[in-house]
Amino acid sequence: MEILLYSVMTQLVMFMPLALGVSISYTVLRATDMTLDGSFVLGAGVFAKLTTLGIPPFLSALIALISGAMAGIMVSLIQRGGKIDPLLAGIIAAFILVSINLIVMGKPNISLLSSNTLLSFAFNKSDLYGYTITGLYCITICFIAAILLNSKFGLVLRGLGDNPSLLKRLGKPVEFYRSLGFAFTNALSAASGILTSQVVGYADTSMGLGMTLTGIGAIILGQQVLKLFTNTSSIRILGELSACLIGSSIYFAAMNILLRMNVNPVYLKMILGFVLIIFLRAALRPAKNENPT
Amino acid sequence: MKNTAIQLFQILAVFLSAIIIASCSQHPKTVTIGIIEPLEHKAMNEIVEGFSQTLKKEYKQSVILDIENAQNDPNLKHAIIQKMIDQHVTIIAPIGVDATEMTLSMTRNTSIPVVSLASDLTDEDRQKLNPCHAAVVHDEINPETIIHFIHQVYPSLTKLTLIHSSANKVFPEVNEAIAAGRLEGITIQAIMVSSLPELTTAATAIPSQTQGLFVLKDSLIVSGIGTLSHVAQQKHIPLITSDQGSVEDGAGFALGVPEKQIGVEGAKLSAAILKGTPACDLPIAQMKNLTVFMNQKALSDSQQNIEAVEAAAKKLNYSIEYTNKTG
Repeated sequence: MEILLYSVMTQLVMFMPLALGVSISYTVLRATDMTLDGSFVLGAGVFAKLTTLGIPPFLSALIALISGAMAGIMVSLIQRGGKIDPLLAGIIAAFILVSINLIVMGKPNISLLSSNTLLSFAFNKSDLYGYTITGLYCITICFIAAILLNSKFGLVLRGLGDNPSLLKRLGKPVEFYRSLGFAFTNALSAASGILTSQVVGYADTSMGLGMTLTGIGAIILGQQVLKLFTNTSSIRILGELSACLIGSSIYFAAMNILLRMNVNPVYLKMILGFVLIIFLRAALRPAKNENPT
Repeated sequence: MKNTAIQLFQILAVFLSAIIIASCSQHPKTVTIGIIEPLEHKAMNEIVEGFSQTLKKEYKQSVILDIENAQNDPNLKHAIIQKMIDQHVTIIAPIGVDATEMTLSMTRNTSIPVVSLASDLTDEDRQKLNPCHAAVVHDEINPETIIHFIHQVYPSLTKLTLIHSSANKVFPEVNEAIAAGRLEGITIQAIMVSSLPELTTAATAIPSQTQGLFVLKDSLIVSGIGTLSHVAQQKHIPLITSDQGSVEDGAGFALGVPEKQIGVEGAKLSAAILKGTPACDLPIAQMKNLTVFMNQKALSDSQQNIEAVEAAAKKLNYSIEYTNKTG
């Protein structure tokens, strides 16, 4: 049981910032931002490149975060004025990022196995210590994100997602806030990439494959499960954070349990899909009972 | 509220049952080797086959092979490695660069030795690991050797098109191939594709003056070898690759090593570790015995001289393996 929990936690601490980025993009900005896969790799790639060039890890991480934010600004510029559908803009930006990531990294894979990173000192002592420090970084990132969401800035972002016309009428620069919103979510994704590259020991151009979709699946699941216990609208920020945590935990727990039951990984995604459906249906049923119409 | 409690109970019941079953799953007491395949590919199965057969010969005691495929999913790969660590497998044998790096990173605080199959980890790289716990099987053949062989087959060849993906291992080899081509008087034009659909587009954009198509050991391009085979037949030019599988699927010929051999070498290293040799004391296994794989049907379909390939192989002392399968 402890082993399973440990295994889930080791994946959660790397994935949570990305899940939160997906959640903000999906529930606050009301856009399915497919760029997050690319900015995840960009964060990892920029960090790995700069670290291997001898730049201090903290500075490398900072530049990697800024590069992730710039990827977000690129998406908002593509869909400027709502002329291009956010989903399409995200796909185009992700497409562009494939080339950018390769150019930045110079090669498709950069090894960090023998480099000094923000986490190497901890992992050199023990895995538990390493993952604890990773967890602390993760909590700090999520805490900063929560503070931002709880501020006036977060309120404007919600307004942008819910009713951009109203925001315009209130005299707020819509495009500016759209850029800030996407910069925020993509920086979170880049942060996840930075943490992942340090834990797994490399940055690779293909390491972001399917991350956004996994994130979307996890937060939908988390939201539905959360609906069982509480009215999320009354504790919005806490609810969003909890949905990410619950959804991602269930996803990784299901994956690890199935693997430990010796299920052939070829069938894993299919079974995982069915498990998610069971959870979603179980979570949806009470709401149906309460509102028979 | 009552409904909510029932639903909560149902969810917890499902979860707890699964956890109990998972906890009761196999905890190996005998020697277990975990093999990590990064994705579904014919070459992976051949490597595993070679590994399994050789290990039986080299190590007489009972060994359980836990073969897991990560389906090209980094999260799944991480979960598989963590599972193997938790189950205290005796050796982990990842296939490929990414899987090796992730395994080495995750096993740095364990005593589990790693046998890296088909990665580019150098002696210097593994000495930097603290502690060094990796044995390595290299699979790449120097592009210079392949270009030299191509020149022996086609002495008048001057223009060759190299189609490659953005895979990590391929990048430096492309540059080496171009440089080797220059030495042999062959101008090599490289075309990069990042996905299979792009390969179809690239195939239509191949320069008309090219005298041959060349593919390195590159899993993405090899997956679409049928597309290039079709182009080679239409243009009456040879399609030269660097692995056995692509020749079976329609390429003309290749200079390479049987994929199985990577598994064979990996099993020898694993057996040595099981007999007590520290992983880091084992020298990096290199692929020495090169084979020319020939698809006579594909060669004749693209109007190529089969005898020229055979003569060059004979001259350079390479063994020949014939295959006429086409997908």
